[in-house]
Amino acid sequence: MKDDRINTLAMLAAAAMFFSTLEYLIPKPVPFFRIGLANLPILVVLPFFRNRDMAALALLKVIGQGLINGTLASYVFLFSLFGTTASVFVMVLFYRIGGRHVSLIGVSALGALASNVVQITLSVQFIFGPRSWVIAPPFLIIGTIAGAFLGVVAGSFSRDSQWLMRLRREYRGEAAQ
Amino acid sequence: MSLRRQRPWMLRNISATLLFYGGIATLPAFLFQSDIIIRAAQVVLFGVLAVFAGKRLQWAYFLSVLATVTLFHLLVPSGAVLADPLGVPITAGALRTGLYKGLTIVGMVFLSLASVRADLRIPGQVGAILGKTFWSFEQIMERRSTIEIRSIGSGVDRLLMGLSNDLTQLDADAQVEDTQSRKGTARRSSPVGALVVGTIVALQWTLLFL
Repeated sequence: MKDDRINTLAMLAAAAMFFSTLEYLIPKPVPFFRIGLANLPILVVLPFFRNRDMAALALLKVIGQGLINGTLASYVFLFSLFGTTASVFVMVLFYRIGGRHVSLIGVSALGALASNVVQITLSVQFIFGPRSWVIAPPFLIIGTIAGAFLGVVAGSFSRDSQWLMRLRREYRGEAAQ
Repeated sequence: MSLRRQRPWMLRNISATLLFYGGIATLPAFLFQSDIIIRAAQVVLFGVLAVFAGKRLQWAYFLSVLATVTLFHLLVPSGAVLADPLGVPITAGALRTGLYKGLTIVGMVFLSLASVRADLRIPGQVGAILGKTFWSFEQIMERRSTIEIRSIGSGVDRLLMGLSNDLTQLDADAQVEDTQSRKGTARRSSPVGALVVGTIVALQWTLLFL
């Protein structure tokens, strides 16, 4: 892997860790609910990152989040790992299939939905039992709205960011070689 | 850069690699610690170590993080009511959970700041990514005050642009031996330096089993 790509992955993973610290300050209207600010770095590079780099970034994000939140040694880490994997898989799939017809808002909302469905299913199966379904509707609705909101933020940053423009050029240049 | 502000003793006696692995070895002992008093003491220790490692700590900011996390947890009552100011119950369970979580996040940031420095080089691609991730996180935490609320997007953009340039510079420095940024830093730890790091790590694990 080239130094440039290692640097980019490291920066994005560090940004995800930073957003995890910010997320800690935000109150949770529903238990286990997260806005998912740490997904912002994944969203902004979704249009041009290679799939394997997306997978590496997702893994680094989950580990960083676990470190920052102190959940690395708990079931929350596994929930986060499976939720993020599902979310990134769905987002990459829909973005690649949908192309120009899909916006970051829609992709982000779908990613949030996938992550939350997986986490509720795991919670029902392994931790809290069928009672977990009680929190499913508000969890899914608020999570999807938060996902769409993140998509708006990511879209706005993608349009204006000079750094992202430079990164996009570098990646496309590398792919063309 | 952080290296200039580091205590010369640390630079001369403790290598960046030992410092990093010391931080990694301390991490589980901190995360598994369930005693809130010990955890608070660990946070203070990590903060002091971060200062000794040359990092600028804004104690007021971290206190406000701790207060905010605790406050939000108090909104969901749990356990015995300790006090009832202005009709808002302060419950023991919520207070403990809030403080515990707040101390966890502040402690993790302090530990990261204390154990990562600019001349850290971990072999292999995974090592490179991990080392640079922690270094970038430390830099973001140091530079976050440059981001203004009114223009968050452009502030973040400038920060990332600067960080990207600095990472490229780090790579260039790594290829040139005896560059200014590494001059005077220990490639290998001295016995005393290793003893200090070992003692701190051993102390954290001892506290876990008390």
